[in-house]
Amino acid sequence: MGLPLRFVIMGLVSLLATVVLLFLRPDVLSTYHYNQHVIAVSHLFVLGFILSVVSGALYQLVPVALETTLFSERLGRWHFGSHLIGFVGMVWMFWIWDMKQVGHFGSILAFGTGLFVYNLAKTLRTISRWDVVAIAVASSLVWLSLTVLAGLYLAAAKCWTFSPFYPIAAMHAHAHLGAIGVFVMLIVGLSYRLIPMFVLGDLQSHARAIASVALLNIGLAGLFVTVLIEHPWKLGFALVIIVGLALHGLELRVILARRRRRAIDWSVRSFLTAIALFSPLSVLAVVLCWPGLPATMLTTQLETVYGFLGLFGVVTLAIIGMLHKIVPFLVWIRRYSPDIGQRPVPTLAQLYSERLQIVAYWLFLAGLLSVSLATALAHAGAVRWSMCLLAASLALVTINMVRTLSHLLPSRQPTPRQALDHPVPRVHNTALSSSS
Amino acid sequence: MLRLFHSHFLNMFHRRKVLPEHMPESMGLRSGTITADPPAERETARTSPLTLDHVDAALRTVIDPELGYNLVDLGLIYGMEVRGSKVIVHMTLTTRGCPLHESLIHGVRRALLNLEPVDEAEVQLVWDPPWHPSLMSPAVAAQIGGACAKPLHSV
Repeated sequence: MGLPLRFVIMGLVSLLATVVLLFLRPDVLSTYHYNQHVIAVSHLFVLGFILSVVSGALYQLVPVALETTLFSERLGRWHFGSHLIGFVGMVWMFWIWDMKQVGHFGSILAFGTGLFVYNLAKTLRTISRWDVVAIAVASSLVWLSLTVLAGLYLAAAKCWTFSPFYPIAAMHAHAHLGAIGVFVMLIVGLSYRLIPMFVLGDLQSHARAIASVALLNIGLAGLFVTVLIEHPWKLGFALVIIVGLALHGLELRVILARRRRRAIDWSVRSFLTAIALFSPLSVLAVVLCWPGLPATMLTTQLETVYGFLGLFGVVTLAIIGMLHKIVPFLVWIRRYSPDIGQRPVPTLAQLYSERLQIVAYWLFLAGLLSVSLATALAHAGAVRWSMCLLAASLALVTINMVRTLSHLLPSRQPTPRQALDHPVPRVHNTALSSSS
Repeated sequence: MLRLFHSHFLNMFHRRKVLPEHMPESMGLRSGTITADPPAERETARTSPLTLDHVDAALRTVIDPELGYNLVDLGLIYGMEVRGSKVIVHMTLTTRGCPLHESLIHGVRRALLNLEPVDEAEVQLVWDPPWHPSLMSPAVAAQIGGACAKPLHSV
Protein backbone atom coordinates (compact mmCIF):
# COMPACT_ATOMS: atom_id res chain seq x y z
CA MET A 1 0.00 0.00 0.00
CA GLY A 2 1.32 3.44 -0.91
CA LEU A 3 2.46 5.94 1.68
CA PRO A 4 -0.41 8.48 1.23
CA LEU A 5 -3.03 5.75 1.52
CA ARG A 6 -1.47 4.38 4.73
CA PHE A 7 -1.67 7.79 6.37
CA VAL A 8 -5.23 8.32 5.18
CA ILE A 9 -6.40 4.97 6.59
CA MET A 10 -4.64 5.68 9.90
CA GLY A 11 -6.44 9.01 9.96
CA LEU A 12 -9.85 7.53 9.30
CA VAL A 13 -9.41 4.96 12.08
CA SER A 14 -8.45 7.76 14.47
CA LEU A 15 -11.45 9.81 13.43
CA LEU A 16 -13.81 6.95 14.17
CA ALA A 17 -12.07 6.34 17.51
CA THR A 18 -12.54 10.03 18.37
CA VAL A 19 -16.25 9.96 17.60
CA VAL A 20 -16.76 6.77 19.65
CA LEU A 21 -14.85 8.31 22.57
CA LEU A 22 -16.93 11.50 22.42
CA PHE A 23 -20.11 9.44 22.40
CA LEU A 24 -18.94 7.42 25.41
CA ARG A 25 -17.56 10.46 27.24
CA PRO A 26 -19.65 13.52 26.24
CA ASP A 27 -18.32 15.33 29.32
CA VAL A 28 -15.16 15.91 27.27
CA LEU A 29 -17.05 18.64 25.43
CA SER A 30 -19.52 19.68 28.11
CA THR A 31 -16.95 20.56 30.78
CA TYR A 32 -14.03 22.99 30.83
CA HIS A 33 -11.41 22.02 28.30
CA TYR A 34 -8.34 22.01 30.52
CA ASN A 35 -8.35 18.43 31.73
CA GLN A 36 -6.50 15.24 30.83
CA HIS A 37 -9.33 13.61 28.86
CA VAL A 38 -10.02 16.64 26.70
CA ILE A 39 -6.32 16.93 25.96
CA ALA A 40 -6.08 13.19 25.17
CA VAL A 41 -9.07 13.28 22.81
CA SER A 42 -7.84 16.49 21.20
CA HIS A 43 -4.48 14.89 20.42
CA LEU A 44 -6.15 11.73 19.13
CA PHE A 45 -8.16 13.91 16.80
CA VAL A 46 -5.47 16.40 15.81
CA LEU A 47 -2.48 14.07 15.55
CA GLY A 48 -4.26 10.81 14.76
CA PHE A 49 -6.80 12.09 12.29
CA ILE A 50 -5.94 15.54 10.97
CA LEU A 51 -2.14 15.40 10.91
CA SER A 52 -2.17 11.84 9.54
CA VAL A 53 -4.47 12.74 6.65
CA VAL A 54 -2.62 16.00 6.07
CA SER A 55 0.71 14.13 5.95
CA GLY A 56 -0.64 11.58 3.50
CA ALA A 57 -2.22 14.32 1.39
CA LEU A 58 1.01 16.33 1.34
CA TYR A 59 3.05 13.30 0.28
CA GLN A 60 0.59 12.99 -2.60
CA LEU A 61 -0.16 16.61 -3.41
CA VAL A 62 3.15 18.42 -3.01
CA PRO A 63 4.92 16.57 -5.83
CA VAL A 64 1.83 16.93 -8.03
CA ALA A 65 0.91 20.51 -7.20
CA LEU A 66 4.47 21.75 -7.44
CA GLU A 67 5.44 19.56 -10.42
CA THR A 68 8.35 17.83 -8.74
CA THR A 69 9.11 14.45 -7.13
CA LEU A 70 9.19 13.46 -3.46
CA PHE A 71 12.73 13.57 -2.07
CA SER A 72 12.55 10.20 -0.28
CA GLU A 73 9.79 7.59 0.02
CA ARG A 74 11.91 5.75 2.61
CA LEU A 75 11.95 8.72 4.97
CA GLY A 76 8.18 8.81 4.57
CA ARG A 77 7.91 5.21 5.79
CA TRP A 78 10.02 6.04 8.85
CA HIS A 79 7.79 9.02 9.46
CA PHE A 80 4.74 6.77 9.32
CA GLY A 81 6.10 4.42 11.99
CA SER A 82 7.27 7.22 14.28
CA HIS A 83 4.01 9.09 13.90
CA LEU A 84 1.92 6.02 14.71
CA ILE A 85 3.93 5.06 17.81
CA GLY A 86 4.24 8.68 18.91
CA PHE A 87 0.62 9.76 18.75
CA VAL A 88 -0.85 6.50 20.12
CA GLY A 89 1.54 6.66 23.08
CA MET A 90 0.86 10.33 23.64
CA VAL A 91 -2.90 9.91 23.66
CA TRP A 92 -2.67 6.98 26.04
CA MET A 93 -0.31 8.85 28.41
CA PHE A 94 -2.42 12.00 28.31
CA TRP A 95 -5.45 9.91 29.27
CA ILE A 96 -3.69 8.55 32.37
CA TRP A 97 -1.83 11.87 32.77
CA ASP A 98 1.75 10.63 32.85
CA MET A 99 3.47 13.69 31.46
CA LYS A 100 6.95 12.17 31.58
CA GLN A 101 5.83 9.46 29.18
CA VAL A 102 3.97 12.05 27.11
CA GLY A 103 7.35 13.70 26.68
CA HIS A 104 8.95 10.41 25.60
CA PHE A 105 6.26 9.55 23.07
CA GLY A 106 6.16 13.18 22.01
CA SER A 107 9.86 12.96 21.23
CA ILE A 108 9.21 9.95 18.98
CA LEU A 109 6.48 11.91 17.23
CA ALA A 110 8.82 14.89 16.95
CA PHE A 111 11.45 12.64 15.35
CA GLY A 112 8.92 11.54 12.72
CA THR A 113 7.76 15.10 12.18
CA GLY A 114 11.38 16.14 11.71
CA LEU A 115 11.78 13.51 8.99
CA PHE A 116 8.56 14.72 7.36
CA VAL A 117 9.62 18.37 7.41
CA TYR A 118 13.11 17.50 6.11
CA ASN A 119 11.66 15.32 3.35
CA LEU A 120 9.24 17.99 2.15
CA ALA A 121 11.78 20.79 2.55
CA LYS A 122 14.21 18.88 0.32
CA THR A 123 11.35 18.32 -2.12
CA LEU A 124 10.50 22.03 -2.11
CA ARG A 125 14.13 22.89 -2.86
CA THR A 126 13.84 21.17 -6.22
CA ILE A 127 10.98 23.29 -7.52
CA SER A 128 11.84 25.87 -10.12
CA ARG A 129 8.98 28.31 -9.59
CA TRP A 130 7.91 29.51 -6.12
CA ASP A 131 4.25 30.35 -6.13
CA VAL A 132 1.66 30.93 -3.42
CA VAL A 133 1.11 27.19 -2.96
CA ALA A 134 4.81 26.54 -2.34
CA ILE A 135 5.02 29.49 0.06
CA ALA A 136 2.01 28.24 2.02
CA VAL A 137 3.38 24.69 2.21
CA ALA A 138 6.79 25.96 3.33
CA SER A 139 5.12 28.21 5.93
CA SER A 140 3.09 25.30 7.26
CA LEU A 141 6.24 23.21 7.66
CA VAL A 142 7.86 25.96 9.73
CA TRP A 143 4.75 26.30 11.91
CA LEU A 144 4.51 22.52 12.28
CA SER A 145 8.09 22.36 13.58
CA LEU A 146 7.39 25.19 16.02
CA THR A 147 4.13 23.57 17.16
CA VAL A 148 5.89 20.29 17.96
CA LEU A 149 8.66 22.14 19.82
CA ALA A 150 6.06 24.12 21.75
CA GLY A 151 4.31 20.85 22.63
CA LEU A 152 7.54 19.33 23.95
CA TYR A 153 8.13 22.52 25.93
CA LEU A 154 4.67 22.23 27.50
CA ALA A 155 5.28 18.58 28.41
CA ALA A 156 8.63 19.49 29.96
CA ALA A 157 7.02 22.39 31.84
CA LYS A 158 4.66 19.88 33.45
CA CYS A 159 7.58 17.74 34.65
CA TRP A 160 9.83 20.57 35.85
CA THR A 161 8.69 23.96 37.06
CA PHE A 162 10.71 26.34 34.92
CA SER A 163 8.10 27.92 32.63
CA PRO A 164 7.18 31.55 33.35
CA PHE A 165 4.00 31.27 31.29
CA TYR A 166 0.49 30.63 32.56
CA PRO A 167 -0.20 26.96 31.56
CA ILE A 168 -3.63 27.55 29.98
CA ALA A 169 -2.32 30.51 27.97
CA ALA A 170 0.63 28.40 26.81
CA MET A 171 -1.73 25.60 25.79
CA HIS A 172 -3.91 28.03 23.82
CA ALA A 173 -0.84 29.47 22.09
CA HIS A 174 0.36 25.95 21.19
CA ALA A 175 -3.08 25.02 19.84
CA HIS A 176 -3.32 28.14 17.64
CA LEU A 177 0.17 27.58 16.32
CA GLY A 178 -0.85 24.14 15.04
CA ALA A 179 -4.42 24.84 14.00
CA ILE A 180 -3.79 28.09 12.12
CA GLY A 181 -0.14 27.66 11.19
CA VAL A 182 -0.45 24.14 9.83
CA PHE A 183 -4.06 23.30 9.03
CA VAL A 184 -5.58 26.66 8.08
CA MET A 185 -2.41 27.58 6.20
CA LEU A 186 -2.60 24.39 4.15
CA ILE A 187 -6.33 24.76 3.49
CA VAL A 188 -5.74 28.29 2.24
CA GLY A 189 -2.60 27.50 0.25
CA LEU A 190 -3.70 24.26 -1.37
CA SER A 191 -7.13 25.66 -2.21
CA TYR A 192 -5.42 28.07 -4.62
CA ARG A 193 -4.33 25.01 -6.62
CA LEU A 194 -7.12 22.52 -5.94
CA ILE A 195 -10.22 24.67 -6.42
CA PRO A 196 -9.16 26.01 -9.85
CA MET A 197 -8.18 22.46 -10.82
CA PHE A 198 -11.56 20.96 -9.90
CA VAL A 199 -13.77 23.74 -11.26
CA LEU A 200 -11.61 24.40 -14.33
CA GLY A 201 -10.71 27.90 -13.29
CA ASP A 202 -7.67 30.10 -12.82
CA LEU A 203 -6.15 31.91 -9.90
CA GLN A 204 -7.37 35.43 -10.59
CA SER A 205 -5.04 37.54 -8.48
CA HIS A 206 -1.69 36.13 -7.43
CA ALA A 207 -1.02 39.26 -5.37
CA ARG A 208 -4.24 38.77 -3.40
CA ALA A 209 -3.38 35.13 -2.78
CA ILE A 210 0.13 36.00 -1.61
CA ALA A 211 -1.27 38.74 0.63
CA SER A 212 -3.67 36.31 2.28
CA VAL A 213 -0.85 33.88 3.11
CA ALA A 214 1.41 36.71 4.30
CA LEU A 215 -1.30 38.08 6.60
CA LEU A 216 -1.85 34.62 8.05
CA ASN A 217 1.87 34.35 8.80
CA ILE A 218 2.18 37.82 10.30
CA GLY A 219 -1.05 37.52 12.27
CA LEU A 220 -0.14 34.12 13.66
CA ALA A 221 3.34 35.20 14.76
CA GLY A 222 1.78 38.07 16.70
CA LEU A 223 -1.14 36.02 17.98
CA PHE A 224 1.13 33.30 19.34
CA VAL A 225 3.17 35.76 21.40
CA THR A 226 0.21 37.82 22.61
CA VAL A 227 -1.82 34.75 23.58
CA LEU A 228 1.21 33.32 25.37
CA ILE A 229 1.80 36.44 27.44
CA GLU A 230 -1.95 37.23 27.68
CA HIS A 231 -1.57 40.62 26.06
CA PRO A 232 -4.67 42.52 24.85
CA TRP A 233 -3.09 43.03 21.42
CA LYS A 234 -4.11 39.48 20.59
CA LEU A 235 -7.35 40.99 19.26
CA GLY A 236 -5.37 43.05 16.73
CA PHE A 237 -3.42 40.04 15.49
CA ALA A 238 -6.62 37.99 15.33
CA LEU A 239 -8.04 40.70 13.07
CA VAL A 240 -4.95 40.50 10.84
CA ILE A 241 -5.62 36.76 10.41
CA ILE A 242 -9.30 37.44 9.72
CA VAL A 243 -8.38 39.94 7.00
CA GLY A 244 -6.12 37.27 5.46
CA LEU A 245 -9.00 34.79 5.51
CA ALA A 246 -11.33 37.40 4.00
CA LEU A 247 -8.89 37.93 1.11
CA HIS A 248 -8.77 34.17 0.63
CA GLY A 249 -12.56 34.00 0.58
CA LEU A 250 -12.72 36.85 -1.94
CA GLU A 251 -10.20 35.16 -4.23
CA LEU A 252 -12.13 31.89 -4.13
CA ARG A 253 -15.35 33.75 -4.87
CA VAL A 254 -13.84 35.31 -7.98
CA ILE A 255 -12.33 32.00 -9.08
CA LEU A 256 -15.73 30.35 -8.76
CA ALA A 257 -17.50 33.19 -10.55
CA ARG A 258 -15.20 32.69 -13.53
CA ARG A 259 -14.99 28.93 -13.50
CA ARG A 260 -15.40 26.92 -16.69
CA ARG A 261 -17.15 23.93 -15.17
CA ARG A 262 -20.74 24.71 -14.33
CA ALA A 263 -21.44 21.95 -11.82
CA ILE A 264 -19.69 22.04 -8.47
CA ASP A 265 -19.45 18.49 -7.15
CA TRP A 266 -20.14 17.60 -3.53
CA SER A 267 -16.47 17.15 -2.68
CA VAL A 268 -15.76 20.73 -3.65
CA ARG A 269 -18.97 21.86 -1.91
CA SER A 270 -17.79 20.27 1.34
CA PHE A 271 -14.49 22.05 1.01
CA LEU A 272 -16.18 25.38 0.27
CA THR A 273 -18.59 24.92 3.17
CA ALA A 274 -15.56 24.47 5.41
CA ILE A 275 -14.17 27.74 4.09
CA ALA A 276 -17.53 29.43 4.74
CA LEU A 277 -17.34 28.27 8.37
CA PHE A 278 -14.41 30.64 8.80
CA SER A 279 -17.04 33.40 9.12
CA PRO A 280 -18.77 32.26 12.35
CA LEU A 281 -15.40 31.10 13.63
CA SER A 282 -13.94 34.57 13.08
CA VAL A 283 -16.84 36.19 14.94
CA LEU A 284 -16.31 33.80 17.84
CA ALA A 285 -12.57 34.50 17.79
CA VAL A 286 -13.14 38.27 18.05
CA VAL A 287 -15.58 37.80 20.94
CA LEU A 288 -13.20 35.51 22.82
CA CYS A 289 -10.22 37.81 22.21
CA TRP A 290 -12.07 40.85 23.49
CA PRO A 291 -10.01 42.53 26.23
CA GLY A 292 -11.48 42.05 29.67
CA LEU A 293 -13.90 39.31 28.66
CA PRO A 294 -15.00 37.65 31.94
CA ALA A 295 -14.36 33.92 32.36
CA THR A 296 -17.92 32.73 32.90
CA MET A 297 -19.48 29.32 32.31
CA LEU A 298 -20.73 30.54 28.94
CA THR A 299 -17.48 32.11 27.74
CA THR A 300 -15.36 29.12 28.72
CA GLN A 301 -17.81 26.82 26.94
CA LEU A 302 -17.67 29.13 23.92
CA GLU A 303 -13.91 28.53 23.88
CA THR A 304 -14.66 24.81 23.55
CA VAL A 305 -17.18 25.54 20.78
CA TYR A 306 -14.51 27.66 19.05
CA GLY A 307 -12.03 24.78 19.13
CA PHE A 308 -14.66 22.24 18.10
CA LEU A 309 -15.95 24.37 15.24
CA GLY A 310 -12.43 25.04 14.04
CA LEU A 311 -11.15 21.49 14.12
CA PHE A 312 -14.34 19.46 13.59
CA GLY A 313 -16.03 22.05 11.40
CA VAL A 314 -13.51 23.78 9.19
CA VAL A 315 -10.63 21.31 9.09
CA THR A 316 -12.61 18.05 9.13
CA LEU A 317 -15.16 19.17 6.57
CA ALA A 318 -12.37 20.34 4.28
CA ILE A 319 -10.58 17.02 4.73
CA ILE A 320 -13.74 14.99 4.09
CA GLY A 321 -14.33 16.94 0.89
CA MET A 322 -10.81 16.36 -0.34
CA LEU A 323 -10.81 12.70 0.80
CA HIS A 324 -13.50 12.09 -1.83
CA LYS A 325 -11.01 13.40 -4.37
CA ILE A 326 -7.74 12.00 -3.06
CA VAL A 327 -8.77 8.43 -2.16
CA PRO A 328 -10.59 7.70 -5.46
CA PHE A 329 -7.63 9.21 -7.29
CA LEU A 330 -5.09 7.03 -5.44
CA VAL A 331 -7.21 3.94 -5.98
CA TRP A 332 -7.84 4.77 -9.63
CA ILE A 333 -4.13 5.32 -10.28
CA ARG A 334 -3.26 1.95 -8.73
CA ARG A 335 -6.11 -0.04 -10.15
CA TYR A 336 -7.24 1.54 -13.43
CA SER A 337 -4.38 3.66 -14.70
CA PRO A 338 -2.68 0.63 -16.30
CA ASP A 339 -5.92 -0.07 -18.19
CA ILE A 340 -6.58 3.35 -19.67
CA GLY A 341 -6.34 3.21 -23.44
CA GLN A 342 -6.72 -0.58 -23.33
CA ARG A 343 -10.20 -1.13 -21.94
CA PRO A 344 -13.03 0.94 -20.44
CA VAL A 345 -12.24 2.47 -17.08
CA PRO A 346 -14.58 4.14 -14.59
CA THR A 347 -14.45 7.82 -13.75
CA LEU A 348 -13.27 8.86 -10.29
CA ALA A 349 -16.83 9.70 -9.25
CA GLN A 350 -17.94 6.17 -10.14
CA LEU A 351 -15.68 4.68 -7.48
CA TYR A 352 -18.00 5.87 -4.69
CA SER A 353 -21.63 6.77 -4.13
CA GLU A 354 -22.50 10.43 -4.54
CA ARG A 355 -25.85 9.79 -2.87
CA LEU A 356 -24.12 8.60 0.32
CA GLN A 357 -21.81 11.57 0.11
CA ILE A 358 -24.74 14.01 -0.02
CA VAL A 359 -26.51 12.39 2.95
CA ALA A 360 -23.23 12.39 4.89
CA TYR A 361 -22.75 16.09 4.11
CA TRP A 362 -26.12 17.16 5.51
CA LEU A 363 -25.85 14.86 8.53
CA PHE A 364 -22.45 16.36 9.26
CA LEU A 365 -23.77 19.92 9.17
CA ALA A 366 -26.73 18.99 11.37
CA GLY A 367 -24.36 17.25 13.80
CA LEU A 368 -21.94 20.17 13.81
CA LEU A 369 -24.71 22.64 14.65
CA SER A 370 -26.31 20.51 17.35
CA VAL A 371 -23.02 19.54 19.04
CA SER A 372 -21.96 23.20 19.04
CA LEU A 373 -25.22 24.24 20.71
CA ALA A 374 -25.07 21.38 23.20
CA THR A 375 -21.46 22.25 24.02
CA ALA A 376 -22.26 25.95 24.49
CA LEU A 377 -25.04 24.94 26.90
CA ALA A 378 -22.72 22.40 28.60
CA HIS A 379 -25.39 19.73 28.23
CA ALA A 380 -23.68 16.31 28.29
CA GLY A 381 -26.78 14.36 27.20
CA ALA A 382 -27.36 16.62 24.21
CA VAL A 383 -23.68 16.34 23.26
CA ARG A 384 -23.94 12.55 23.33
CA TRP A 385 -26.99 12.34 21.08
CA SER A 386 -25.80 15.08 18.79
CA MET A 387 -22.61 13.10 18.33
CA CYS A 388 -24.80 10.36 16.86
CA LEU A 389 -25.46 12.61 13.87
CA LEU A 390 -21.76 13.15 13.33
CA ALA A 391 -21.11 9.44 13.87
CA ALA A 392 -23.77 8.56 11.29
CA SER A 393 -22.25 11.01 8.83
CA LEU A 394 -18.74 9.67 9.35
CA ALA A 395 -20.03 6.09 9.05
CA LEU A 396 -21.35 6.97 5.59
CA VAL A 397 -18.04 8.59 4.70
CA THR A 398 -16.29 5.42 5.84
CA ILE A 399 -18.63 3.24 3.79
CA ASN A 400 -17.81 5.36 0.77
CA MET A 401 -14.09 5.08 1.43
CA VAL A 402 -14.32 1.31 1.92
CA ARG A 403 -16.33 1.10 -1.28
CA THR A 404 -13.61 3.01 -3.08
CA LEU A 405 -10.80 0.97 -1.56
CA SER A 406 -12.59 -2.27 -2.45
CA HIS A 407 -11.64 -1.61 -6.07
CA LEU A 408 -8.13 -2.63 -5.06
CA LEU A 409 -9.26 -6.14 -4.09
CA PRO A 410 -8.00 -8.86 -6.43
CA SER A 411 -11.56 -10.17 -6.90
CA ARG A 412 -12.46 -6.93 -8.67
CA GLN A 413 -9.59 -7.18 -11.15
CA PRO A 414 -11.01 -7.96 -14.58
CA THR A 415 -9.61 -11.05 -16.20
CA PRO A 416 -8.33 -10.91 -19.77
CA ARG A 417 -11.49 -12.78 -20.82
CA GLN A 418 -13.70 -10.09 -19.30
CA ALA A 419 -11.62 -7.47 -20.99
CA LEU A 420 -12.24 -9.07 -24.38
CA ASP A 421 -15.94 -9.29 -23.64
CA HIS A 422 -15.99 -5.52 -23.13
CA PRO A 423 -13.71 -4.05 -25.76
CA VAL A 424 -12.92 -0.39 -25.89
CA PRO A 425 -15.89 1.29 -27.56
CA ARG A 426 -15.15 3.15 -30.77
CA VAL A 427 -17.75 5.80 -30.16
CA HIS A 428 -17.84 9.28 -28.71
CA ASN A 429 -17.88 7.78 -25.28
CA THR A 430 -18.20 10.12 -22.38
CA ALA A 431 -18.11 7.99 -19.29
CA LEU A 432 -19.13 4.46 -18.57
CA SER A 433 -22.65 4.13 -17.43
CA SER A 434 -21.67 2.07 -14.42
CA SER A 435 -18.56 1.52 -12.41
CA SER A 436 -16.64 -1.62 -12.91
CA MET B 1 6.15 7.76 -46.78
CA LEU B 2 2.55 8.67 -46.42
CA ARG B 3 2.25 11.72 -44.26
CA LEU B 4 -1.06 12.99 -43.01
CA PHE B 5 -1.72 15.71 -40.62
CA HIS B 6 -4.64 16.96 -38.65
CA SER B 7 -4.90 19.51 -35.90
CA HIS B 8 -8.06 20.71 -34.21
CA PHE B 9 -6.15 23.41 -32.49
CA LEU B 10 -4.38 24.79 -35.53
CA ASN B 11 -7.51 24.80 -37.59
CA MET B 12 -9.31 26.65 -34.88
CA PHE B 13 -6.73 29.28 -34.04
CA HIS B 14 -4.09 29.73 -36.68
CA ARG B 15 -5.64 28.29 -39.82
CA ARG B 16 -2.35 26.59 -40.53
CA LYS B 17 -2.13 23.13 -41.95
CA VAL B 18 1.30 21.96 -40.96
CA LEU B 19 2.70 21.79 -37.49
CA PRO B 20 6.31 23.02 -37.46
CA GLU B 21 8.82 20.29 -36.78
CA HIS B 22 10.33 22.29 -33.92
CA MET B 23 7.02 22.88 -32.11
CA PRO B 24 7.22 20.03 -29.62
CA GLU B 25 10.67 21.02 -28.40
CA SER B 26 9.95 24.72 -28.25
CA MET B 27 6.50 24.45 -26.68
CA GLY B 28 6.35 21.20 -24.84
CA LEU B 29 7.59 20.24 -21.44
CA ARG B 30 7.60 16.54 -21.96
CA SER B 31 7.64 14.16 -24.81
CA GLY B 32 8.08 10.47 -25.14
CA THR B 33 8.15 7.58 -27.51
CA ILE B 34 7.12 4.03 -26.86
CA THR B 35 7.27 1.05 -29.14
CA ALA B 36 4.49 -1.41 -29.71
CA ASP B 37 3.90 -4.86 -28.30
CA PRO B 38 4.10 -7.70 -30.83
CA PRO B 39 1.31 -7.21 -33.38
CA ALA B 40 -0.25 -10.56 -32.49
CA GLU B 41 -1.32 -9.18 -29.12
CA ARG B 42 -3.23 -6.21 -30.48
CA GLU B 43 -6.97 -6.01 -30.44
CA THR B 44 -7.48 -4.55 -33.88
CA ALA B 45 -6.44 -6.17 -37.13
CA ARG B 46 -6.66 -3.99 -40.18
CA THR B 47 -5.69 -4.44 -43.78
CA SER B 48 -6.55 -0.88 -44.91
CA PRO B 49 -4.04 1.97 -44.45
CA LEU B 50 -4.00 3.81 -41.17
CA THR B 51 -5.84 7.12 -41.35
CA LEU B 52 -6.36 10.02 -39.00
CA ASP B 53 -9.92 8.82 -38.49
CA HIS B 54 -8.52 5.65 -36.95
CA VAL B 55 -6.24 7.70 -34.70
CA ASP B 56 -9.11 9.97 -33.76
CA ALA B 57 -11.30 6.99 -32.89
CA ALA B 58 -8.53 5.46 -30.77
CA LEU B 59 -8.04 8.70 -28.85
CA ARG B 60 -11.74 8.88 -28.13
CA THR B 61 -11.37 5.71 -26.04
CA VAL B 62 -9.19 7.58 -23.53
CA ILE B 63 -11.21 9.48 -20.93
CA ASP B 64 -10.23 12.06 -18.35
CA PRO B 65 -11.53 10.24 -15.26
CA GLU B 66 -12.08 13.48 -13.32
CA LEU B 67 -14.28 15.07 -16.00
CA GLY B 68 -15.66 11.85 -17.48
CA TYR B 69 -15.24 12.77 -21.16
CA ASN B 70 -12.84 11.60 -23.82
CA LEU B 71 -9.76 13.64 -24.63
CA VAL B 72 -10.84 14.53 -28.18
CA ASP B 73 -14.19 15.94 -27.13
CA LEU B 74 -12.51 17.80 -24.28
CA GLY B 75 -10.31 19.55 -26.86
CA LEU B 76 -7.11 18.29 -25.29
CA ILE B 77 -5.77 16.88 -28.55
CA TYR B 78 -4.04 19.68 -30.45
CA GLY B 79 -2.72 17.66 -33.36
CA MET B 80 -2.23 14.17 -34.82
CA GLU B 81 0.25 13.02 -37.39
CA VAL B 82 0.75 9.67 -39.10
CA ARG B 83 4.14 8.82 -40.55
CA GLY B 84 3.93 5.28 -41.81
CA SER B 85 3.77 3.10 -38.72
CA LYS B 86 4.54 5.98 -36.39
CA VAL B 87 1.88 8.22 -34.87
CA ILE B 88 2.61 11.56 -33.22
CA VAL B 89 0.01 13.24 -31.04
CA HIS B 90 0.26 16.76 -29.65
CA MET B 91 -1.90 17.20 -26.59
CA THR B 92 -2.40 19.36 -23.53
CA LEU B 93 -4.13 19.03 -20.17
CA THR B 94 -6.78 21.22 -18.57
CA THR B 95 -4.31 22.46 -15.98
CA ARG B 96 -0.59 22.35 -15.29
CA GLY B 97 0.31 19.98 -12.50
CA CYS B 98 -2.68 17.80 -13.31
CA PRO B 99 -2.26 14.68 -11.16
CA LEU B 100 -3.53 12.52 -14.03
CA HIS B 101 -0.71 13.73 -16.26
CA GLU B 102 1.24 10.44 -16.51
CA SER B 103 -1.86 8.25 -16.72
CA LEU B 104 -3.37 10.17 -19.61
CA ILE B 105 -0.15 10.25 -21.60
CA HIS B 106 0.34 6.52 -21.13
CA GLY B 107 -3.32 5.93 -21.97
CA VAL B 108 -2.94 7.79 -25.24
CA ARG B 109 0.19 5.81 -26.11
CA ARG B 110 -1.48 2.52 -25.34
CA ALA B 111 -4.58 3.43 -27.36
CA LEU B 112 -2.39 4.32 -30.32
CA LEU B 113 -0.31 1.18 -30.07
CA ASN B 114 -3.49 -0.88 -30.16
CA LEU B 115 -3.93 0.28 -33.72
CA GLU B 116 -2.62 -1.86 -36.55
CA PRO B 117 0.04 -1.17 -37.93
CA VAL B 118 1.33 1.37 -35.38
CA ASP B 119 4.77 0.42 -34.11
CA GLU B 120 5.71 3.67 -32.51
CA ALA B 121 3.59 6.24 -30.68
CA GLU B 122 4.90 9.61 -29.63
CA VAL B 123 3.01 11.98 -27.33
CA GLN B 124 4.07 15.60 -27.15
CA LEU B 125 2.63 17.43 -24.15
CA VAL B 126 2.35 21.16 -24.81
CA TRP B 127 1.13 24.04 -22.64
CA ASP B 128 1.10 26.87 -25.12
CA PRO B 129 -1.53 27.87 -25.91
CA PRO B 130 -3.26 26.82 -22.72
CA TRP B 131 -6.42 24.76 -22.90
CA HIS B 132 -9.67 26.68 -23.01
CA PRO B 133 -13.32 25.52 -22.94
CA SER B 134 -13.87 26.84 -26.46
CA LEU B 135 -11.79 23.84 -27.61
CA MET B 136 -14.39 21.38 -26.34
CA SER B 137 -16.94 19.81 -28.66
CA PRO B 138 -20.30 21.61 -28.48
CA ALA B 139 -21.99 18.63 -26.83
CA VAL B 140 -19.41 18.36 -24.06
CA ALA B 141 -19.19 22.13 -23.67
CA ALA B 142 -22.94 22.19 -23.12
CA GLN B 143 -22.55 19.58 -20.37
CA ILE B 144 -19.54 21.10 -18.62
CA GLY B 145 -20.07 24.78 -19.50
CA GLY B 146 -19.03 27.22 -16.82
CA ALA B 147 -19.68 30.71 -15.65
CA CYS B 148 -17.52 32.42 -18.24
CA ALA B 149 -16.90 31.89 -21.90
CA LYS B 150 -13.54 33.61 -22.23
CA PRO B 151 -10.39 33.37 -20.14
CA LEU B 152 -10.03 36.17 -17.62
CA HIS B 153 -6.80 36.67 -15.77
CA SER B 154 -7.37 39.56 -13.44
CA VAL B 155 -10.10 41.31 -11.56
